[in-house]
Amino acid sequence: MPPATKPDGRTVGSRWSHRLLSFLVVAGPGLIVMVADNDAGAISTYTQAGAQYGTKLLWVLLLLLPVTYFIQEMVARLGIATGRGHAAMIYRRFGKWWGRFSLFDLLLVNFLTLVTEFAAVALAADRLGLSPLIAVPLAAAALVGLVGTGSYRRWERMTLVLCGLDLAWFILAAMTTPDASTVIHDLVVPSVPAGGITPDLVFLVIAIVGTTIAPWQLFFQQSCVADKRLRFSDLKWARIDTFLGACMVVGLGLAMMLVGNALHQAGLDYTDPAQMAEALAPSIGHVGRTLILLMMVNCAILGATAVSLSSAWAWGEVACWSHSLQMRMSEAPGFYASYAACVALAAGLVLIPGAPLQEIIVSVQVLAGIMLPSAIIFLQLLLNDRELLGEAFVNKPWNNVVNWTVIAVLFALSLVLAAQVLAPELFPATTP
Amino acid sequence: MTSFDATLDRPLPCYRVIHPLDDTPELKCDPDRLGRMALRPVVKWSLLALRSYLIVMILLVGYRVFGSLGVL
Repeated sequence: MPPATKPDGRTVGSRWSHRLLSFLVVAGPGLIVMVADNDAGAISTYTQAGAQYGTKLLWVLLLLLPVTYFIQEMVARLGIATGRGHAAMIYRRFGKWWGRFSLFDLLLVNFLTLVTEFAAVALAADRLGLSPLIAVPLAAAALVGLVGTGSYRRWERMTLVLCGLDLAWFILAAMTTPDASTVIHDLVVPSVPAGGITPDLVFLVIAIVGTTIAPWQLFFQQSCVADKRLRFSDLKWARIDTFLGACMVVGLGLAMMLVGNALHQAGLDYTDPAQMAEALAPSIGHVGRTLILLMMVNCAILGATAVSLSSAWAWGEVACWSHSLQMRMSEAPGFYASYAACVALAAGLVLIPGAPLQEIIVSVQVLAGIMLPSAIIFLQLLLNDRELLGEAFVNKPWNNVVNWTVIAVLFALSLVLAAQVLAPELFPATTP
Repeated sequence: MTSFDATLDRPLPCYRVIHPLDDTPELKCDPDRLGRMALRPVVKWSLLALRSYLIVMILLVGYRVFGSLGVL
Protein backbone atom coordinates (compact mmCIF):
# COMPACT_ATOMS: atom_id res chain seq x y z
CA MET A 1 0.00 0.00 0.00
CA PRO A 2 1.64 3.28 -1.02
CA PRO A 3 1.96 5.99 1.63
CA ALA A 4 -1.04 8.27 1.67
CA THR A 5 -1.01 11.87 2.83
CA LYS A 6 -3.72 13.05 5.16
CA PRO A 7 -4.28 16.61 6.26
CA ASP A 8 -3.21 15.75 9.79
CA GLY A 9 -0.28 13.52 9.08
CA ARG A 10 1.14 10.81 6.87
CA THR A 11 0.19 7.15 6.87
CA VAL A 12 2.82 4.51 6.20
CA GLY A 13 2.50 0.77 5.83
CA SER A 14 5.45 -0.62 7.75
CA ARG A 15 6.76 -0.35 11.26
CA TRP A 16 10.23 0.61 10.01
CA SER A 17 8.89 3.40 7.81
CA HIS A 18 6.90 4.60 10.80
CA ARG A 19 9.99 4.67 13.00
CA LEU A 20 12.09 6.38 10.38
CA LEU A 21 9.47 9.00 9.62
CA SER A 22 8.79 9.57 13.32
CA PHE A 23 12.51 10.23 13.81
CA LEU A 24 12.71 12.50 10.78
CA VAL A 25 9.84 14.74 11.90
CA VAL A 26 11.35 15.08 15.37
CA ALA A 27 15.02 15.44 14.33
CA GLY A 28 16.40 18.93 14.04
CA PRO A 29 16.94 20.70 17.36
CA GLY A 30 19.64 18.26 18.51
CA LEU A 31 21.51 18.21 15.21
CA ILE A 32 21.29 21.95 14.69
CA VAL A 33 22.44 22.88 18.20
CA MET A 34 25.45 20.59 17.93
CA VAL A 35 26.56 21.42 14.40
CA ALA A 36 25.98 25.14 15.00
CA ASP A 37 28.24 24.78 18.02
CA ASN A 38 31.12 24.25 15.61
CA ASP A 39 30.99 27.93 14.79
CA ALA A 40 33.68 30.45 13.95
CA GLY A 41 35.11 30.33 17.47
CA ALA A 42 35.21 26.56 17.36
CA ILE A 43 37.09 26.57 14.05
CA SER A 44 39.56 28.97 15.55
CA THR A 45 40.00 27.01 18.79
CA TYR A 46 40.20 23.55 17.20
CA THR A 47 42.53 24.57 14.37
CA GLN A 48 44.74 26.47 16.83
CA ALA A 49 44.87 23.36 19.03
CA GLY A 50 45.88 21.31 15.99
CA ALA A 51 48.41 23.87 14.80
CA GLN A 52 50.07 24.17 18.24
CA TYR A 53 49.85 20.63 19.56
CA GLY A 54 49.22 18.46 16.48
CA THR A 55 46.95 15.52 17.27
CA LYS A 56 47.88 15.45 20.96
CA LEU A 57 44.59 16.98 22.17
CA LEU A 58 42.23 14.76 20.14
CA TRP A 59 41.41 12.70 23.24
CA VAL A 60 39.88 15.78 24.87
CA LEU A 61 37.25 15.79 22.12
CA LEU A 62 36.43 12.12 22.62
CA LEU A 63 35.96 12.75 26.36
CA LEU A 64 33.56 15.56 25.55
CA LEU A 65 31.25 13.32 23.46
CA PRO A 66 29.33 11.74 26.38
CA VAL A 67 29.45 14.99 28.34
CA THR A 68 27.85 16.91 25.48
CA TYR A 69 25.19 14.24 25.00
CA PHE A 70 24.25 13.97 28.69
CA ILE A 71 23.90 17.72 29.12
CA GLN A 72 21.89 18.29 25.96
CA GLU A 73 19.67 15.27 26.60
CA MET A 74 18.63 16.86 29.90
CA VAL A 75 17.74 20.06 28.09
CA ALA A 76 15.67 18.19 25.48
CA ARG A 77 13.90 16.26 28.26
CA LEU A 78 13.11 19.43 30.19
CA GLY A 79 11.85 21.15 27.03
CA ILE A 80 9.59 18.23 26.13
CA ALA A 81 8.26 17.89 29.68
CA THR A 82 7.45 21.58 30.17
CA GLY A 83 7.05 23.01 26.66
CA ARG A 84 9.02 26.03 27.92
CA GLY A 85 12.45 27.45 27.22
CA HIS A 86 15.34 27.35 29.69
CA ALA A 87 15.19 31.04 30.56
CA ALA A 88 11.47 30.78 31.27
CA MET A 89 12.07 27.82 33.59
CA ILE A 90 14.78 29.63 35.59
CA TYR A 91 12.56 32.71 35.79
CA ARG A 92 9.50 30.76 36.95
CA ARG A 93 11.18 28.35 39.38
CA PHE A 94 14.00 30.49 40.81
CA GLY A 95 12.43 33.93 40.59
CA LYS A 96 13.14 37.17 38.74
CA TRP A 97 16.50 37.85 40.40
CA TRP A 98 18.11 34.62 39.19
CA GLY A 99 16.21 34.82 35.93
CA ARG A 100 17.67 38.22 35.14
CA PHE A 101 21.21 37.20 36.14
CA SER A 102 21.04 34.14 33.92
CA LEU A 103 19.65 36.20 31.07
CA PHE A 104 22.41 38.81 31.51
CA ASP A 105 25.13 36.11 31.44
CA LEU A 106 23.59 34.57 28.36
CA LEU A 107 23.18 37.83 26.48
CA LEU A 108 26.74 38.94 27.34
CA VAL A 109 28.43 35.76 26.13
CA ASN A 110 26.06 35.46 23.18
CA PHE A 111 26.76 38.98 22.00
CA LEU A 112 30.53 38.48 22.20
CA THR A 113 30.12 35.15 20.42
CA LEU A 114 28.10 36.83 17.70
CA VAL A 115 30.91 39.36 17.24
CA THR A 116 33.30 36.47 16.64
CA GLU A 117 30.94 34.99 14.03
CA PHE A 118 30.95 38.20 12.03
CA ALA A 119 34.67 38.57 12.56
CA ALA A 120 35.10 35.22 10.84
CA VAL A 121 32.85 36.28 7.98
CA ALA A 122 34.93 39.45 7.56
CA LEU A 123 38.23 37.53 7.68
CA ALA A 124 37.11 34.88 5.20
CA ALA A 125 35.44 37.35 2.84
CA ASP A 126 38.58 39.49 2.77
CA ARG A 127 40.68 36.49 1.72
CA LEU A 128 38.07 35.53 -0.86
CA GLY A 129 38.42 38.97 -2.43
CA LEU A 130 35.11 40.34 -1.14
CA SER A 131 35.14 43.51 0.92
CA PRO A 132 33.99 42.94 4.55
CA LEU A 133 31.98 46.15 4.15
CA ILE A 134 29.80 44.23 1.70
CA ALA A 135 30.08 40.68 3.10
CA VAL A 136 29.22 41.46 6.73
CA PRO A 137 26.00 43.43 6.06
CA LEU A 138 25.07 40.78 3.46
CA ALA A 139 25.54 38.03 6.06
CA ALA A 140 23.51 40.01 8.60
CA ALA A 141 20.67 40.45 6.09
CA ALA A 142 20.77 36.74 5.23
CA LEU A 143 20.55 35.88 8.93
CA VAL A 144 17.46 38.01 9.39
CA GLY A 145 15.94 36.57 6.22
CA LEU A 146 16.62 33.02 7.43
CA VAL A 147 14.39 33.35 10.49
CA GLY A 148 11.85 35.80 9.15
CA THR A 149 9.82 33.40 7.01
CA GLY A 150 7.15 32.83 9.66
CA SER A 151 7.64 29.08 9.46
CA TYR A 152 9.61 26.96 11.91
CA ARG A 153 9.81 24.15 9.38
CA ARG A 154 11.27 26.37 6.67
CA TRP A 155 13.91 27.72 9.06
CA GLU A 156 14.76 24.18 10.24
CA ARG A 157 15.12 22.82 6.71
CA MET A 158 17.34 25.68 5.57
CA THR A 159 19.46 25.37 8.69
CA LEU A 160 19.81 21.60 8.27
CA VAL A 161 21.09 22.20 4.72
CA LEU A 162 23.75 24.52 6.17
CA CYS A 163 24.58 21.79 8.71
CA GLY A 164 25.01 19.32 5.85
CA LEU A 165 27.50 21.65 4.15
CA ASP A 166 29.68 21.40 7.26
CA LEU A 167 30.49 17.81 6.26
CA ALA A 168 33.05 19.37 3.91
CA TRP A 169 35.36 19.54 6.95
CA PHE A 170 35.81 15.78 6.65
CA ILE A 171 36.93 16.22 3.03
CA LEU A 172 39.35 18.93 4.13
CA ALA A 173 40.75 16.72 6.88
CA ALA A 174 41.23 13.90 4.35
CA MET A 175 43.03 16.33 2.00
CA THR A 176 45.65 16.98 4.69
CA THR A 177 46.45 13.21 4.67
CA PRO A 178 47.00 12.71 8.41
CA ASP A 179 48.64 9.54 9.67
CA ALA A 180 45.67 7.31 10.59
CA SER A 181 47.49 5.29 13.26
CA THR A 182 48.69 8.44 15.04
CA VAL A 183 45.21 9.94 14.90
CA ILE A 184 43.59 6.81 16.39
CA HIS A 185 46.29 6.54 19.05
CA ASP A 186 46.00 10.19 20.12
CA LEU A 187 42.21 9.96 20.06
CA VAL A 188 42.00 7.09 22.52
CA VAL A 189 45.21 7.48 24.55
CA PRO A 190 45.28 10.68 26.64
CA SER A 191 48.67 12.37 26.64
CA VAL A 192 50.19 15.74 27.45
CA PRO A 193 51.81 17.53 24.49
CA ALA A 194 55.56 18.12 24.39
CA GLY A 195 56.35 21.09 26.61
CA GLY A 196 54.23 19.90 29.50
CA ILE A 197 51.32 21.62 31.19
CA THR A 198 51.78 25.28 30.39
CA PRO A 199 49.37 28.21 30.95
CA ASP A 200 48.73 28.33 27.21
CA LEU A 201 47.83 24.63 27.14
CA VAL A 202 45.42 24.99 30.07
CA PHE A 203 43.89 28.09 28.47
CA LEU A 204 43.40 26.19 25.20
CA VAL A 205 41.93 23.09 26.89
CA ILE A 206 39.41 25.29 28.73
CA ALA A 207 38.65 26.99 25.42
CA ILE A 208 38.05 23.58 23.79
CA VAL A 209 35.65 22.62 26.58
CA GLY A 210 34.01 26.04 26.37
CA THR A 211 33.50 25.80 22.64
CA THR A 212 32.24 22.21 22.63
CA ILE A 213 29.67 22.74 25.38
CA ALA A 214 28.54 26.35 25.42
CA PRO A 215 25.88 27.90 27.69
CA TRP A 216 23.80 29.12 24.73
CA GLN A 217 23.29 25.52 23.67
CA LEU A 218 21.23 24.79 26.80
CA PHE A 219 18.96 27.73 26.11
CA PHE A 220 18.80 27.14 22.36
CA GLN A 221 17.86 23.47 22.35
CA GLN A 222 15.22 23.79 25.05
CA SER A 223 13.59 26.76 23.32
CA CYS A 224 13.84 25.01 19.96
CA VAL A 225 12.19 21.86 21.37
CA ALA A 226 9.46 24.03 22.88
CA ASP A 227 8.95 26.00 19.66
CA LYS A 228 8.71 22.75 17.68
CA ARG A 229 6.16 21.55 20.26
CA LEU A 230 7.77 18.13 20.68
CA ARG A 231 5.51 15.68 22.50
CA PHE A 232 6.20 13.32 25.40
CA SER A 233 6.29 10.41 22.94
CA ASP A 234 8.99 12.19 20.91
CA LEU A 235 11.57 11.94 23.70
CA LYS A 236 13.23 8.78 22.38
CA TRP A 237 13.64 10.34 18.92
CA ALA A 238 14.88 13.59 20.45
CA ARG A 239 17.51 11.56 22.31
CA ILE A 240 18.70 9.94 19.06
CA ASP A 241 18.71 13.37 17.40
CA THR A 242 20.85 14.70 20.26
CA PHE A 243 23.22 11.73 20.18
CA LEU A 244 23.75 12.05 16.40
CA GLY A 245 24.37 15.75 16.94
CA ALA A 246 26.92 15.00 19.67
CA CYS A 247 28.74 12.62 17.31
CA MET A 248 28.68 15.32 14.63
CA VAL A 249 30.06 18.04 16.89
CA VAL A 250 32.94 15.83 18.02
CA GLY A 251 33.57 14.45 14.53
CA LEU A 252 33.68 17.91 13.00
CA GLY A 253 35.90 19.18 15.82
CA LEU A 254 38.24 16.30 15.14
CA ALA A 255 38.32 17.15 11.43
CA MET A 256 39.09 20.81 12.21
CA MET A 257 41.90 19.81 14.56
CA LEU A 258 43.37 17.62 11.83
CA VAL A 259 43.30 20.52 9.37
CA GLY A 260 45.19 22.59 11.97
CA ASN A 261 47.56 19.64 12.46
CA ALA A 262 48.68 20.03 8.82
CA LEU A 263 50.11 23.40 9.80
CA HIS A 264 51.85 21.82 12.80
CA GLN A 265 53.41 19.13 10.61
CA ALA A 266 54.64 21.70 8.11
CA GLY A 267 56.15 23.77 10.93
CA LEU A 268 54.16 26.84 9.96
CA ASP A 269 52.90 29.56 12.30
CA TYR A 270 49.22 30.01 13.12
CA THR A 271 47.45 33.34 13.38
CA ASP A 272 43.82 32.66 12.51
CA PRO A 273 41.83 30.19 10.34
CA ALA A 274 41.94 32.47 7.27
CA GLN A 275 45.72 32.74 7.48
CA MET A 276 45.80 28.96 7.94
CA ALA A 277 43.87 28.53 4.68
CA GLU A 278 46.49 30.61 2.85
CA ALA A 279 49.38 28.78 4.52
CA LEU A 280 47.97 25.38 3.58
CA ALA A 281 47.26 26.34 -0.04
CA PRO A 282 50.55 24.84 -1.34
CA SER A 283 49.67 21.44 0.16
CA ILE A 284 45.87 21.25 -0.25
CA GLY A 285 45.57 23.40 -3.37
CA HIS A 286 43.44 26.38 -4.30
CA VAL A 287 40.24 24.34 -3.94
CA GLY A 288 41.15 23.36 -0.38
CA ARG A 289 42.02 26.94 0.51
CA THR A 290 38.73 28.26 -0.87
CA LEU A 291 36.80 25.48 0.84
CA ILE A 292 38.27 26.38 4.24
CA LEU A 293 37.29 30.02 3.74
CA LEU A 294 33.76 29.10 2.60
CA MET A 295 33.39 26.75 5.56
CA MET A 296 34.41 29.59 7.86
CA VAL A 297 31.50 31.62 6.48
CA ASN A 298 29.08 28.67 6.68
CA CYS A 299 30.01 27.85 10.27
CA ALA A 300 29.77 31.51 11.24
CA ILE A 301 26.29 31.85 9.70
CA LEU A 302 25.11 28.67 11.42
CA GLY A 303 26.55 29.75 14.75
CA ALA A 304 25.15 33.26 14.38
CA THR A 305 21.59 32.11 13.72
CA ALA A 306 21.64 29.69 16.65
CA VAL A 307 23.26 32.11 19.09
CA SER A 308 20.98 35.01 18.10
CA LEU A 309 17.92 32.78 18.33
CA SER A 310 18.89 31.57 21.79
CA SER A 311 19.12 35.23 22.88
CA ALA A 312 15.83 36.21 21.23
CA TRP A 313 13.97 33.16 22.57
CA ALA A 314 15.32 33.72 26.10
CA TRP A 315 14.50 37.42 26.03
CA GLY A 316 11.03 36.70 24.71
CA GLU A 317 10.41 34.08 27.41
CA VAL A 318 11.50 36.38 30.22
CA ALA A 319 9.73 39.46 28.83
CA CYS A 320 6.61 37.35 28.09
CA TRP A 321 6.64 38.41 24.43
CA SER A 322 5.33 36.19 21.66
CA HIS A 323 8.43 34.25 20.65
CA SER A 324 8.02 31.63 17.96
CA LEU A 325 9.47 31.04 14.53
CA GLN A 326 5.98 29.94 13.55
CA MET A 327 4.82 33.54 13.90
CA ARG A 328 5.19 36.26 11.33
CA MET A 329 7.25 39.33 12.14
CA SER A 330 4.10 41.36 12.74
CA GLU A 331 2.87 38.75 15.26
CA ALA A 332 6.09 38.60 17.32
CA PRO A 333 7.74 42.01 16.83
CA GLY A 334 9.78 41.95 20.07
CA PHE A 335 11.21 38.51 19.32
CA TYR A 336 12.27 39.36 15.78
CA ALA A 337 13.43 42.86 16.73
CA SER A 338 15.74 41.52 19.47
CA TYR A 339 17.14 38.94 17.02
CA ALA A 340 17.75 41.60 14.37
CA ALA A 341 19.22 44.03 16.93
CA CYS A 342 21.74 41.43 18.18
CA VAL A 343 22.76 40.65 14.60
CA ALA A 344 23.01 44.30 13.52
CA LEU A 345 24.99 45.44 16.59
CA ALA A 346 27.51 42.60 16.35
CA ALA A 347 27.93 43.10 12.60
CA GLY A 348 28.47 46.81 13.12
CA LEU A 349 31.08 46.24 15.82
CA VAL A 350 33.14 43.97 13.57
CA LEU A 351 33.38 46.65 10.91
CA ILE A 352 35.24 48.92 13.35
CA PRO A 353 38.87 48.72 12.17
CA GLY A 354 41.68 47.36 14.39
CA ALA A 355 39.60 45.06 16.62
CA PRO A 356 41.79 42.24 18.11
CA LEU A 357 39.62 39.47 16.72
CA GLN A 358 41.70 36.37 17.52
CA GLU A 359 42.00 37.40 21.21
CA ILE A 360 38.25 37.98 21.37
CA ILE A 361 37.52 34.60 19.77
CA VAL A 362 39.61 32.54 22.20
CA SER A 363 38.52 34.59 25.22
CA VAL A 364 34.84 34.11 24.42
CA GLN A 365 35.35 30.35 24.51
CA VAL A 366 37.07 30.66 27.89
CA LEU A 367 34.28 32.86 29.22
CA ALA A 368 31.74 30.31 28.02
CA GLY A 369 33.72 27.54 29.74
CA ILE A 370 33.64 29.51 33.01
CA MET A 371 29.92 30.24 32.84
CA LEU A 372 28.93 26.73 31.87
CA PRO A 373 29.11 25.12 35.36
CA SER A 374 26.67 27.65 36.80
CA ALA A 375 24.30 27.19 33.86
CA ILE A 376 24.43 23.41 34.36
CA ILE A 377 23.75 23.78 38.08
CA PHE A 378 20.40 25.44 37.32
CA LEU A 379 19.70 22.68 34.82
CA GLN A 380 20.61 20.08 37.42
CA LEU A 381 18.29 21.65 40.01
CA LEU A 382 15.44 21.85 37.50
CA LEU A 383 15.89 18.23 36.43
CA ASN A 384 15.61 17.16 40.08
CA ASP A 385 12.39 19.10 40.54
CA ARG A 386 10.02 16.21 41.31
CA GLU A 387 7.22 18.60 42.20
CA LEU A 388 7.25 19.90 38.63
CA LEU A 389 8.38 16.97 36.51
CA GLY A 390 7.19 13.95 38.44
CA GLU A 391 9.01 10.62 38.22
CA ALA A 392 8.72 10.34 34.43
CA PHE A 393 11.10 13.15 33.50
CA VAL A 394 13.16 13.72 36.62
CA ASN A 395 16.88 12.79 36.62
CA LYS A 396 17.81 9.23 37.50
CA PRO A 397 20.49 8.79 40.21
CA TRP A 398 23.14 7.94 37.59
CA ASN A 399 22.24 11.16 35.70
CA ASN A 400 23.02 13.10 38.84
CA VAL A 401 26.33 11.33 39.40
CA VAL A 402 27.42 12.10 35.83
CA ASN A 403 26.27 15.71 36.02
CA TRP A 404 27.88 16.51 39.35
CA THR A 405 31.11 14.97 38.04
CA VAL A 406 30.92 17.17 34.94
CA ILE A 407 30.20 20.24 37.06
CA ALA A 408 33.13 19.43 39.38
CA VAL A 409 35.53 19.00 36.45
CA LEU A 410 34.36 22.24 34.83
CA PHE A 411 34.76 24.09 38.11
CA ALA A 412 38.24 22.65 38.56
CA LEU A 413 39.21 23.82 35.07
CA SER A 414 37.91 27.31 35.71
CA LEU A 415 39.75 27.44 39.05
CA VAL A 416 42.95 26.42 37.28
CA LEU A 417 42.36 29.29 34.89
CA ALA A 418 41.92 31.67 37.81
CA ALA A 419 45.12 30.38 39.43
CA GLN A 420 47.16 30.78 36.28
CA VAL A 421 45.93 34.33 35.79
CA LEU A 422 46.62 35.29 39.41
CA ALA A 423 49.80 33.28 39.91
CA PRO A 424 51.36 32.27 36.59
CA GLU A 425 54.58 31.22 38.40
CA LEU A 426 52.64 28.13 39.61
CA PHE A 427 52.61 26.86 36.01
CA PRO A 428 56.22 26.62 34.86
CA ALA A 429 56.79 24.90 31.54
CA THR A 430 58.10 21.39 32.08
CA THR A 431 60.13 19.31 29.72
CA PRO A 432 58.48 16.11 28.44
CA MET B 1 -7.39 -20.73 -2.24
CA THR B 2 -9.34 -19.90 0.83
CA SER B 3 -6.19 -18.97 2.70
CA PHE B 4 -5.07 -16.74 -0.23
CA ASP B 5 -8.39 -14.86 -0.11
CA ALA B 6 -8.06 -14.50 3.64
CA THR B 7 -4.62 -12.89 3.17
CA LEU B 8 -6.07 -10.43 0.67
CA ASP B 9 -8.95 -9.53 2.93
CA ARG B 10 -6.79 -8.95 6.04
CA PRO B 11 -6.34 -5.19 6.54
CA LEU B 12 -2.71 -4.15 6.05
CA PRO B 13 -1.11 -2.50 9.06
CA CYS B 14 -0.97 1.24 8.79
CA TYR B 15 0.86 3.71 10.98
CA ARG B 16 0.22 7.41 11.18
CA VAL B 17 2.96 9.98 11.71
CA ILE B 18 1.96 13.51 12.62
CA HIS B 19 4.42 16.37 12.68
CA PRO B 20 4.56 17.89 16.19
CA LEU B 21 3.53 21.28 14.82
CA ASP B 22 0.37 19.76 13.30
CA ASP B 23 -0.56 17.74 16.36
CA THR B 24 -2.94 18.66 19.15
CA PRO B 25 -1.03 20.45 21.94
CA GLU B 26 -0.33 18.34 25.03
CA LEU B 27 -0.89 19.32 28.61
CA LYS B 28 2.68 19.90 29.84
CA CYS B 29 4.20 20.11 33.32
CA ASP B 30 3.26 23.68 34.19
CA PRO B 31 5.67 25.71 36.34
CA ASP B 32 3.16 28.57 36.71
CA ARG B 33 0.86 26.59 38.99
CA LEU B 34 3.77 25.85 41.34
CA GLY B 35 5.43 29.22 41.71
CA ARG B 36 9.03 29.43 42.94
CA MET B 37 11.01 26.36 43.91
CA ALA B 38 11.57 25.98 47.64
CA LEU B 39 15.32 26.24 48.15
CA ARG B 40 17.06 25.08 51.30
CA PRO B 41 19.34 27.76 52.84
CA VAL B 42 22.43 25.79 51.83
CA VAL B 43 21.31 25.77 48.17
CA LYS B 44 20.45 29.46 48.30
CA TRP B 45 23.86 30.37 49.74
CA SER B 46 25.59 28.10 47.26
CA LEU B 47 23.88 29.90 44.40
CA LEU B 48 24.92 33.26 45.84
CA ALA B 49 28.50 32.02 46.15
CA LEU B 50 28.27 30.87 42.56
CA ARG B 51 27.13 34.29 41.44
CA SER B 52 30.07 35.95 43.24
CA TYR B 53 32.45 33.40 41.74
CA LEU B 54 31.14 34.14 38.25
CA ILE B 55 31.60 37.88 38.66
CA VAL B 56 35.20 37.36 39.84
CA MET B 57 35.93 34.98 36.96
CA ILE B 58 34.50 37.35 34.35
CA LEU B 59 36.77 40.09 35.74
CA LEU B 60 39.77 37.71 35.62
CA VAL B 61 39.16 36.85 31.97
CA GLY B 62 38.85 40.54 31.20
CA TYR B 63 42.13 41.15 33.06
CA ARG B 64 43.89 38.48 31.04
CA VAL B 65 42.52 39.65 27.70
CA PHE B 66 43.34 43.31 28.33
CA GLY B 67 46.73 42.25 29.68
CA SER B 68 47.55 40.30 26.54
CA LEU B 69 46.49 43.27 24.43
CA GLY B 70 48.89 45.50 26.39
CA VAL B 71 46.10 47.69 27.74
CA LEU B 72 46.96 46.87 31.40
